[in-house]
Amino acid sequence: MADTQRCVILNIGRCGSTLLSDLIAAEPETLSVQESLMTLMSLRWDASMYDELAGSQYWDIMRTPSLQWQVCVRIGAITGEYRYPATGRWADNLAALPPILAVTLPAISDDPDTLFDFLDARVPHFPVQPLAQHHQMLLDLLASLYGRRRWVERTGASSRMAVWLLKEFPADKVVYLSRNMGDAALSMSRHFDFQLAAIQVELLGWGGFNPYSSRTPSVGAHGPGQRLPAQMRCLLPDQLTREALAEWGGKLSRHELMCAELIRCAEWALAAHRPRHLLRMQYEDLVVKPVEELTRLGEFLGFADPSGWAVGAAGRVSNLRGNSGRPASSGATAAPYAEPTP
Amino acid sequence: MGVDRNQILTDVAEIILSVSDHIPPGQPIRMETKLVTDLAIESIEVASIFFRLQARYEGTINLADFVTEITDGHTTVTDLRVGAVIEFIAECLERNGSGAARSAPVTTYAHG
Repeated sequence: MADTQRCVILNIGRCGSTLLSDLIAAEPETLSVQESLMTLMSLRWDASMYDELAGSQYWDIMRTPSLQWQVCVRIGAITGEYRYPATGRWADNLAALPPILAVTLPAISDDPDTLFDFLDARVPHFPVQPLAQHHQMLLDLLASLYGRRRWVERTGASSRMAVWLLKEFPADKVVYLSRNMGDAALSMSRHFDFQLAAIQVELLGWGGFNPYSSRTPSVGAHGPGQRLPAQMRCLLPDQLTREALAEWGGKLSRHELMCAELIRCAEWALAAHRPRHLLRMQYEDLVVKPVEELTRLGEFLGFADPSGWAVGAAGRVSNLRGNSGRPASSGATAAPYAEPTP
Repeated sequence: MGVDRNQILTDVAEIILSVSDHIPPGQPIRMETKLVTDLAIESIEVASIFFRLQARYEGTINLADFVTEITDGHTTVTDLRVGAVIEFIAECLERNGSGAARSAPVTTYAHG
């Protein structure tokens, strides 16, 4: 589809962005793409490492499970955003689940395995091009496949890669969704993914390496892990437990710092690479006046009936009312929409 | 006695170099150095640097406040300058009457 409209929802995480994605999915001309950038977040965004990627190389990135995911499966720290069906092909071996099947494809199709096979046969034949072009081509292909005139991509805490997104990723419109820092940080401190992120920041800070990153050398007897303070060895991928994750990853002060940094990243990227079309949204406003805020969003995205869509969608937002500022669930067992998900 | 900004710069530079494995040897880190533009520091590394600095100056600084302060107003946000971090730390130390920057080893870890 030549005139596919492209939009990215930049967000700090734990600010209602998953709910927003789900609401957008109800708009018939829009493909709501969720967490498709998750895999790319562990890559390093420098130089020209990803300027010339073959389709097969790009697809390998999208389909190869990360060490972080494998550890989460091992310790049973899978968040509520995960959507792969219990009857799926990889249901009995989740550690091997291609990351694009964890959330992205199940959010689009009731038969994500078949959709994966379709992509598996085509994406490796994409031409050699920069990573961002590959990703755009993938989302364009999905929108075309489902006959949608636009796609809206939303990955939790995407502000971490805000500079790359705004500089390299060819979105026509950008929505920036944020939340009061204290509330977002509190919610992050209770969410597995953010707890694991905090642990990686600890390891990087005190050990000078991130063993959960694909670009870190293996941690052997003489590897970088030897630089770690002894009490932090329990954070290494092969030793991490649910208890250590909660204890080390749940420190609110750490999440306040991380959340502040996510906000700084987003604001700096928005100032340095100003999008042609930008809509700022705040979680608190969405909770208090959902119809107005969703109408504003629908108009910005060019929906055919923004107010009609907003009225229909607002009821699902109302469940958030009263939760604003309240401690969040871990994300592991939360009922849908009981708490904003990243 | 005033706060020794050069000592803080030494601390900050040491922490930056210990956190980031891709900064070439001999790369100078000065007050005007920008974390992303000049050093290609990633977001996760910035957070790690903040963790370390928070521990280094425990009870004296709150870097979350610092970041909130510099992002307030949206349009004036720029790349993070080493000197801005140092100035913030120095001002906090001065407010707390800490005098010269402490010279404890920057690698000390405190679980808390």
